[in-house]
Amino acid sequence: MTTHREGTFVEGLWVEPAQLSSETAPSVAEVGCTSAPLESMAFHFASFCKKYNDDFVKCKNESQDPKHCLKEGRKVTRCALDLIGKLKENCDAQWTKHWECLDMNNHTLFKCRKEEKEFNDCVFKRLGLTKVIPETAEGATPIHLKEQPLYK
Amino acid sequence: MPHARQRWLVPLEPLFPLLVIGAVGTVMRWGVAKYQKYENFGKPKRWSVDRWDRRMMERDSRLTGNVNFQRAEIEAPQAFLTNSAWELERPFM
Repeated sequence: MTTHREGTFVEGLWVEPAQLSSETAPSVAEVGCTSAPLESMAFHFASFCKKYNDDFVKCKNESQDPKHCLKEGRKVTRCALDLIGKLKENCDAQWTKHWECLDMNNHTLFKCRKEEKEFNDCVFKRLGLTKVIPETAEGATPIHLKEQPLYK
Repeated sequence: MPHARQRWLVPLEPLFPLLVIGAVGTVMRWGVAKYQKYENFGKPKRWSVDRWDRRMMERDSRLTGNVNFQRAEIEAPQAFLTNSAWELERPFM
């Protein structure tokens, strides 16, 4: 039966018993952040790991097979782990405040501009990364820098 | 027949039922919000959840055990490599 329904008389969750083979086993640990911290550092991750991200996207465009892009994926994961370590070392307080604010507001970025500004300032001061929104029109202020975003 | 006496210059009496309705509505919304916070470990409910958010919330539950908990560690626990969010159901029919 392939209907999607909630389980009745649920007794636990499925744990994969088969061990990972040596060719699919990741030689790098998985990223341990949940969705809110990842969302708040997303733009900084884009500028910090640009070349690995572009490689991975190009590789994925060639084929959707998961085995095809494992190497590029591992590079992206390593870069992400590096960035998370740097953020925890340098800007932990501002990052935590921003993602806790996102958590309380349904993960919408426009509700947390104040904390985002503090976090971006800290990241720029310590790590030199700016948040750039791709595909903004030439000469237009990006939405996160507008003083009064609700007015024209 | 003498005219009925008007109490105030501007009639405020009709506003009292509206205030009562407003108070009942406010209490209702406050109560619903409090109950949702109680169910979601102190946070408001997620709304407008699309497929991306559902998949991210499933990943959150695999990392921390519940969709409402967030964690900001560098590495994932070892159990994350093999766990899942699929429920095991005892056959009953």
